[in-house]
Amino acid sequence: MKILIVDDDTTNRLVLGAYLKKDGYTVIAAENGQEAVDMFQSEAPELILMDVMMPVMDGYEATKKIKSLSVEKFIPIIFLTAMTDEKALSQCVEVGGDDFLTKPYNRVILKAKIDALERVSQLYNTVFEQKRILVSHKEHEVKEREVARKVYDSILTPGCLSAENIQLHLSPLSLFNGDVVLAAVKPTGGLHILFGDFTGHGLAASLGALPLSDIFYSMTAKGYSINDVVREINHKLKLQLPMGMFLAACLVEIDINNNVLKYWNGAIPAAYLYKGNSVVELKSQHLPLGILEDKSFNDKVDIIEIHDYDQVVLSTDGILETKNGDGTMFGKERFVKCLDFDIEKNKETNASNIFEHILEALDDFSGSHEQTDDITLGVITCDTDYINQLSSQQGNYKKFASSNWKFDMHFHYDAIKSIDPVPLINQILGEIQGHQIQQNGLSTVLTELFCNSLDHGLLQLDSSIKATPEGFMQFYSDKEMLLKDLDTGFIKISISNTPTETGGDLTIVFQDSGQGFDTSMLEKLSLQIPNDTPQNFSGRGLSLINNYCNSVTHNEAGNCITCTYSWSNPD
Amino acid sequence: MPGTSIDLNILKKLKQIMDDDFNELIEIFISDGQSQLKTLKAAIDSSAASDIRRIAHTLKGSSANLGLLTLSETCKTLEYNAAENIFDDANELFEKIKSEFEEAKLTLEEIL
Amino acid sequence: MSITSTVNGNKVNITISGRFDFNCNKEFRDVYYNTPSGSNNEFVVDMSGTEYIDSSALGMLLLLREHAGSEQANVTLFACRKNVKDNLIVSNFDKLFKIA
Repeated sequence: MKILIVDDDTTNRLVLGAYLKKDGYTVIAAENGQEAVDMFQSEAPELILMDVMMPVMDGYEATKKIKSLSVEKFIPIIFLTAMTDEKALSQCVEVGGDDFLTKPYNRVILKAKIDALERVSQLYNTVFEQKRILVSHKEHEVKEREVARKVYDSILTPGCLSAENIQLHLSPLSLFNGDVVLAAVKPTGGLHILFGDFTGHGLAASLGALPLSDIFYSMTAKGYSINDVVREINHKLKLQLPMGMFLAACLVEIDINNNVLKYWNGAIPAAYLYKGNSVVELKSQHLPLGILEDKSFNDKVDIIEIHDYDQVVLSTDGILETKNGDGTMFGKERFVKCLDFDIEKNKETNASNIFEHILEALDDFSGSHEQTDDITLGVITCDTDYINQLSSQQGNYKKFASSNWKFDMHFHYDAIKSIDPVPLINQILGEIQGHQIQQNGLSTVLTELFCNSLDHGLLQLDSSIKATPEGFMQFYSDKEMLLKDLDTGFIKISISNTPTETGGDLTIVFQDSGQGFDTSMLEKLSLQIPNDTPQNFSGRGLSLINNYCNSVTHNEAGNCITCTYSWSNPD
Repeated sequence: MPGTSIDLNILKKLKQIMDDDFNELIEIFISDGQSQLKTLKAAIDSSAASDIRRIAHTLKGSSANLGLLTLSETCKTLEYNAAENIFDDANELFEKIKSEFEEAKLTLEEIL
Repeated sequence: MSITSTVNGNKVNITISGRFDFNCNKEFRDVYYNTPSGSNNEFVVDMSGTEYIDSSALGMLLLLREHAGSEQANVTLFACRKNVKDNLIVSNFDKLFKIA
């Protein structure tokens, strides 16, 4: 240790110096207070022995100065004094002195004092260092939160979370705890919603949100269904997240054309369909995302029939775990009880009530508003008109020159079992002519044409059974089975473009290997079908196609349909 | 001289620790001390209380460090008196200091 | 919260008491790291004293499963309290672990 001796008397400096050197310390010396301050700054001693009475600057003054210069590090100062009066001694302490040593200097006592102060100094310096580390961690954490917040903002904005039919309670705190809610419009008419909860908090949880949102938005825009989206998300998260991190998620697809709700739930504890007078649980039947290998992953999606103003209610476990003063948790039973709220009685106020009702019940239970900071709750209303309107408002498109082109696709039965060609076609059209081509319901037309070829052409299903709720479930269960057993057949698709002054005319041909149907019936079938009459699927599907296309013709057998569709480039 | 107390142990230990540097220490003490005596006398003659106090204080300290106990005590008395502005026995104390210093000088030179 | 383990030949017993949550990360890892790994060992986790589990705890169980041989692992979660069991079932962890 380096020790600075400050004394105006040479003898004293030499005697002290001798003692200290003998004990192994490095010694430097100053003759007065000013020199002491200068040497303190240039030599950085770790301990100072300070005489009091000195010319130029005395020991008190020098001590005050040195103590003010050593804020980050503790430098002990021992006063060398022959004084024994209390006033002088207390002044030593007042100016910052840590101890004093009287003359004649007792070597043993001097060493003991230095040792003791050295221990104090180490303790002090350790505390300073720990404080510095804590402060730096705190600053780091604040920065992390800012980054996480920014990441979340950029993830949430591309979607349609601000849509009027979506009510959402999602606070910055719950975002930071790994909760994610994404919503996007399908070009075919419909909504995709993802309600998720990452393990961990902060930046770690945010990282998973980046690939998640990329996949969700891009696949939804291309017309993929949630089973494909969920499979891709699982694949990416499994690849990128460390073992032990995963995403509990519920994906919901509201298909307004078919009045169908599809869902995939992996570990979201509170997911329900609220139908005004009944409640259906969207049960969690899957493991969270990011755990299973591709080969073990189950993308099976469940289907429920829906009507306008049915509401999807989703919540992460924050609500269920909210505690009241006694430490009891809100729990699943209370949550379900909230849904036992007859909307009929509150018809004027309509759909928004269930959302507010749940939040109110939560506040009442917990007795405070603080805990609701930590919860994530979403209520999405199935509103056909509104969602249709959303679908037609897509973004700005790059202008592509309309050109002559054609492509054909053949899918044999084995391919049809696992490939959904509609998103692929959307992708190709987007690449060749830009996405503006899809503005007037083209994706819907393609979806309906494909469904028609598959369901009625190849599988020979009868849509009329969908009229009843049991029949509805039967239809989809039959479809799954028939598709699995399919061992023959094909679907051929051909699309070509002829440029026009304003854009282009597409000719779309779908041909299947099925038996077709009695095309003479078409004339009898009124193609202006009122929306609220339960019609068979093919009727409704054809009316949609007719809605968007200039012309629709069938071959005589009824297994080949040709449509022409006009599109225009934006100005 | 009767009543003069010098702690030889301190000096012996110092010599042991400092080896050759001990000689330098003694030379400095003696030459510093001699000039201090001169300025002390002048201060007493002009009754400059704070100067008397300061010089007596310094000599008190350094002599104590070399085990020159009586010399140190006498300086202390002079210092405290000056602090109280008492100059009556200043001259007397000075003579005492002077002779004790001479004695110390002899002892120190013996040890060298 | 306390986590202990004992090893008896190729049977590893791990006992978790108190709240099993994100605070237990390091302790849990330290405990199972020191047990033999691989699917030729049988792992039994005594959860009778486990008051609560959160998603971080589920993550830790996944790490244990990896240590125990991943797809071939033999891990039983034993004597789970109702709230803990409900949590495990909702998350479908019964597809990855035996829950007794």
